[in-house]
Amino acid sequence: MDLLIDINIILDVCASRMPFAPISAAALQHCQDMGGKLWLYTGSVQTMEFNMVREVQRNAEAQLKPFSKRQCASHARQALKLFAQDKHWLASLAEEGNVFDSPDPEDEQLIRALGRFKEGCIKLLTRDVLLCERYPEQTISPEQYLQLPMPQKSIDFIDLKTQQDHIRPELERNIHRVLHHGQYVMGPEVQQLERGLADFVGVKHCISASSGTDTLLIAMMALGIKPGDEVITTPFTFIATGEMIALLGAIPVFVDIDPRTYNIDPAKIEAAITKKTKAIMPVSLYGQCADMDGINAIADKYGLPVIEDAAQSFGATYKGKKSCALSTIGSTSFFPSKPLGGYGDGGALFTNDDVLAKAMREIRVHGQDRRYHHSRIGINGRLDTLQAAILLAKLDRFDWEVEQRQKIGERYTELISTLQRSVGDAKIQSPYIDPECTSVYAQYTVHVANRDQILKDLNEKGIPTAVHYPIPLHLQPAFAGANYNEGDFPISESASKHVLSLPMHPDVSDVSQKIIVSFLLNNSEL
Amino acid sequence: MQVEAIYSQGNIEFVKPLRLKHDHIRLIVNVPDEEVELQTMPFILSEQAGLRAQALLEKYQAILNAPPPSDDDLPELSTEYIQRLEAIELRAQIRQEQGRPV
Repeated sequence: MDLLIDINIILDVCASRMPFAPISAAALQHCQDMGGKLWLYTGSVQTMEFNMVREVQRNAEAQLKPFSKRQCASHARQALKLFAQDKHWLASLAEEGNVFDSPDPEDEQLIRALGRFKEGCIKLLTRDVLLCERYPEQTISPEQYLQLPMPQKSIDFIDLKTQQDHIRPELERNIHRVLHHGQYVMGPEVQQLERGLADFVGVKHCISASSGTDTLLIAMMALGIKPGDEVITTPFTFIATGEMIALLGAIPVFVDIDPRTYNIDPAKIEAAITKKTKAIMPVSLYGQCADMDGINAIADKYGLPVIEDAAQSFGATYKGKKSCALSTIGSTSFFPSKPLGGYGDGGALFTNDDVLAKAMREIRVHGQDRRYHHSRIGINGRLDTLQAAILLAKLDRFDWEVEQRQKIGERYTELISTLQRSVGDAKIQSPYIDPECTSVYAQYTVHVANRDQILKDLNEKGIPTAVHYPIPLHLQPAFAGANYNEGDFPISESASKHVLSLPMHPDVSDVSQKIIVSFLLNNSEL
Repeated sequence: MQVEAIYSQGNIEFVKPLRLKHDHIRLIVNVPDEEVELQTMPFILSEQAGLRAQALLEKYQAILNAPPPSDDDLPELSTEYIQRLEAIELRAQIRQEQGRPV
């Protein structure tokens, strides 16, 4: 449970007010130890400060120290600055403004602010008995808090809440800017994000779009892919890859995968090329780029463009170059669970080709080259300004998150390997990362022999898991007309029966990883 | 001036009657340390958590007890700021009268 800290508790701790300070400090410490977050209300800052100055003054007088008001203010600010360092700020919103009908506007603001949270996940920590009596459901005293039975913190598959808490000030600033300037479509944040993303990837053009699915469609439309054309891709991926090819009336031609990386096997591509082949679309699955040099070499030989479906690999590198900068067009997704995810759908395209960039920009907006003049058929595929504003806040932390994901991925691999060595078993296969690649671990996906049993065991123990993906595209009913059969792509089919993704996000703790791996290997000794 | 007073159940009474100019004034009272009952904790807190809480308090005590910077090195407080400080005193008084913590 999180706690919003009332001013009396803040003063207890910052001014060491006896006899309350130890229990107030213990409650705060306990909250953090249990994985809870401590919140301060921005609307309380002035009351906090002036009361703290008063406390410093009282303390100095009690010790017969002749502190001036300025000196008291200096000490007060120093203490509050330290106190705020590891707390989260809860913004005062307009809804908490007109509280003048309330018997106590100050309390009313805090209680209203708590209303934003999911019921039961936060309380106002206070020693104010009257406040506790008036709002028994929303308040808690330090004594009561310390006596609460603390449930074990659950393990999340993806933890967007922790990330949000870390970037809340930037998120709120960016969202409010959009609310105030009101350019909800193609506002300045969209261009700012596109510049930032192009710089991050190291390409000339970035074209943001409404989703990582629409980006594939836009890319193929820009390349002129039409009904009857063939596009080579992998069957072991999310439906969007094959779906967008089919949506254009083109034919997805599947090529089986490399059993180590689960990405399309370049050695098998050439055999699938026909006169109708118009593009190759590898997918950088689980956060690791496909063998792009191998794929590009074949594409060059046949004069084919390559679209890297990098929905899962934004932030990864291949031979020192960033994913999305490795072929004719790079396409990524900002779906919330992706390494760089927004709060809704979004995506982006990357290219160094000026002509393609212009075409993709136009297709994104109904094929429009200037206002109400449509040079080609396009789609309504723009990224919302609000999503761009959110992504900008996330982009600031993205380098750190990529680093964290890599550390967490490597740590999983190390834990699995150590434990399997100790029991002389090797039933779990960790992801293979090519030495010339870095993975951003959009998923940490292991290969297991007995997946159903492991899934059942992990779910019973409260460890969330996912299967990416249980049915390869060639066996999906949607592609029944393509005349593929079971056995056509044995490696993809086998992978779909044995892969299992574990919780992965930049804030997975060491302890959680140990628990997950120990349950995964059904060994409680770790 | 220092005068002797008796504390009894929330009230302070001067031993020798004293006429004061105002009905409400601020006093500094010396309370013998041995009379202050440290709150007993009716909960189980791990020793480590207790130590961390204590360490936390020590950080703030260090700030409070540190010699302050010279007045000359600190920015002037505006009249508004001082007025707000006085206003907060009033808030504290009201809350104390209501039996609420400041």
